[in-house]
Amino acid sequence: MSTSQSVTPALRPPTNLVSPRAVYCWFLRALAGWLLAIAAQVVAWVVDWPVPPWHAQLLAVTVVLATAHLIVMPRWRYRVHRWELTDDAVYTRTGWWTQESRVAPLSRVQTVDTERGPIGRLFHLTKVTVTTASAAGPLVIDGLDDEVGIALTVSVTAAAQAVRDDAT
Amino acid sequence: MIGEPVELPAGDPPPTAADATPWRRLAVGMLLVEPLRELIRFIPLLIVLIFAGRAGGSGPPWGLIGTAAVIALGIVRYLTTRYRITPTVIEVRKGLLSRKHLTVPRDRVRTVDVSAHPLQRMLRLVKVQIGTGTSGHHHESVDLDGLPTNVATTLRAELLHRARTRPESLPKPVVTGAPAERAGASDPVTTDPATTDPATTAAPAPVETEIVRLNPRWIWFAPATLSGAVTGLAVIGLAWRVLNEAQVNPAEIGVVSTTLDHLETTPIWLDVLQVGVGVVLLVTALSVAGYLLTFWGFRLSRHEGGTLHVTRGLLTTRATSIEERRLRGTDRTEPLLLRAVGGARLSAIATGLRAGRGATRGGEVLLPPAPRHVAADVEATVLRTPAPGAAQLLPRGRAARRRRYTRALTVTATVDVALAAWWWFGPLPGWVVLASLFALPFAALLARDRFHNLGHAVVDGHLVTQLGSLVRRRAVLDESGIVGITLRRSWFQRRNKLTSLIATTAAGQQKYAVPDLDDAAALRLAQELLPVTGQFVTGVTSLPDAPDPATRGALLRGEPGVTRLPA
Repeated sequence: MSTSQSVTPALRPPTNLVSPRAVYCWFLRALAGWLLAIAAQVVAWVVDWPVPPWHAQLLAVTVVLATAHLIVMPRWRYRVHRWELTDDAVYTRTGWWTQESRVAPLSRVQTVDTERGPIGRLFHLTKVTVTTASAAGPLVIDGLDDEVGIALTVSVTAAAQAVRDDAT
Repeated sequence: MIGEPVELPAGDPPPTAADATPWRRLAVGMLLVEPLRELIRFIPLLIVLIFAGRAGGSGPPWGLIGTAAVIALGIVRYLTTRYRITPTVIEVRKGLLSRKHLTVPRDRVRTVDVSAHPLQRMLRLVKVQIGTGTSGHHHESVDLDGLPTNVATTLRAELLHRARTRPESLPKPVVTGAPAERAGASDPVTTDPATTDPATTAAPAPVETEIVRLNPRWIWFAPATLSGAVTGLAVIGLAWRVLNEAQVNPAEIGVVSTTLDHLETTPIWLDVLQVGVGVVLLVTALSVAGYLLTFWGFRLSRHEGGTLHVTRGLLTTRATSIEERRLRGTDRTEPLLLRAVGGARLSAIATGLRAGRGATRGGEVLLPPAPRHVAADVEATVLRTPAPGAAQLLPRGRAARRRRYTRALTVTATVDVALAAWWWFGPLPGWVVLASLFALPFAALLARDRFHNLGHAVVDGHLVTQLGSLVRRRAVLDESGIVGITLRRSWFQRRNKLTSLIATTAAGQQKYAVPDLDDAAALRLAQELLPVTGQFVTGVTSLPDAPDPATRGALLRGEPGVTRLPA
């Protein structure tokens, strides 16, 4: 047995945090979603649709869930979301309840997409998506400063082109 | 109109040297085939209309209008589709309102799928679908519905058998039993000496080696696939629609009313028995018929040009060619019933063949439901190594077992509690709650089987992962085809120190999971499959260079010094 096994191996988190403003961005995005759900329920109550039978109870549960989600999720997510670019790989960590760490070698990177949604633009935040030849598991870094996002896109693209082979 | 010079609409790409190749239309026969096919589809409804004598019903005849529209669309498609095959690209132009111009470089062709339904076969026409290596959502494959058979055969051979012009694409035969060969090679391939005669590799013309062909006795596996149940439901749905359209009450049809009358005269337990036997017989008959239609004449062969070739089909024939350079592994599937009778299916994991999607659906079949040992043999031959198939899978730890039981029992118990509440507060009869309690032991059995089926191994440069119970899958994936690693942990998994590893790939299902590994084992597996992961791992300097299989087993399980083989 090799002696190097004496320490328990662990996956270290990626070095870089996303922008602190991402917390507000995620909060607003989740708030928009919840408000939509609450609005639908209020309409159903006012018009007295028969389909969800207990309007008041359902609405109460929704509000409680929404409050808990909005308090817990953004800050938890901020502590989890991290990214790192090395000479030969991209490494991200995302999620909150369920967390995913993804590693892709730069030689397998196919495209780098930059995206700014309406709420993202409000906070000058960029979402960078690094895709491989697989339709599953793109590496998503959400909530980067615009400048950081652009710089990252440029460097990943350049690095990927430098080492790119067939990528499948 | 046919035979006149083709008018190119405005906005075409600028002329190049390749424009010397003329644009061609699909075969004229398609003008006959498409309307005929639509009319044949319409026949059941016509029969009902005639025999029911209710053709004068109210409302517009939507069926007829729909058929006419489909025929018209077929003619428009024929008139607007042009294709040409130049030495470098395949180009297709189609569409009436939105013109589409598809260009596929010939060296990007990964799979060629040739199919023909009975009408096309009579006129010696085929449909050709050309798959490229991309598996993204917005890339569509190129379809040419209505090529003469001889053109299609030449095209397929030309597209896929470029061995003489590109010798590097030929797999280099390596004798099995020399695993050291694998270490440095980027795309290593081992040849099973039993299946590939060395003399044939040296032959100048492409030589075809048969790997397996359909054994008629395998048809008895058909009922175990339950495919007949799906077909039966589809047939019932279709019949229902037809009857609805013809405005016939099903109870007025002679056979149905006789059956219903008969059932009314017998006691209820006999009714259940009779209906049960009837359903089993029907599902069996439909399954066998489906198996025959899909897999009759099944034959898998290897061309020395570097492709695997599958032909099959009784009425609608289908021939698929998969470039071996694009083969990333195989997937063995055993639905519960099929597993119980010792059968398995085998499909290819190849880039450009996205499992169950779009035009290439079904193109990945390497073996229809057949005895398990045949599936294992075909797997070894296709992969050119018997090691992954023979590999002893490493079982998961106790936490993974606990998680299987927790999940199965929690879900079942929640449903039971909800039903009980409904019975207590609402109108639900009590026996439903009692009956639902019987689901608990089945949930426990399911959890037990799911745990026993979990297993993985890394053998000979391949990841082997097995999971599932109702449908057990065992995927063998070439390490060189893995383009990324995802380590996934839910809150519950983090508490139990478990990690699910997901290997992403450009082939097949795009991702293959190894669920609920112990944390340390998941990290070691990730590093083994994708060495760049190593730089993000702390607490271990390096993996031992060449551990013996027993040590490596313990390493992968995260139990230094302890090796436990599966019971």
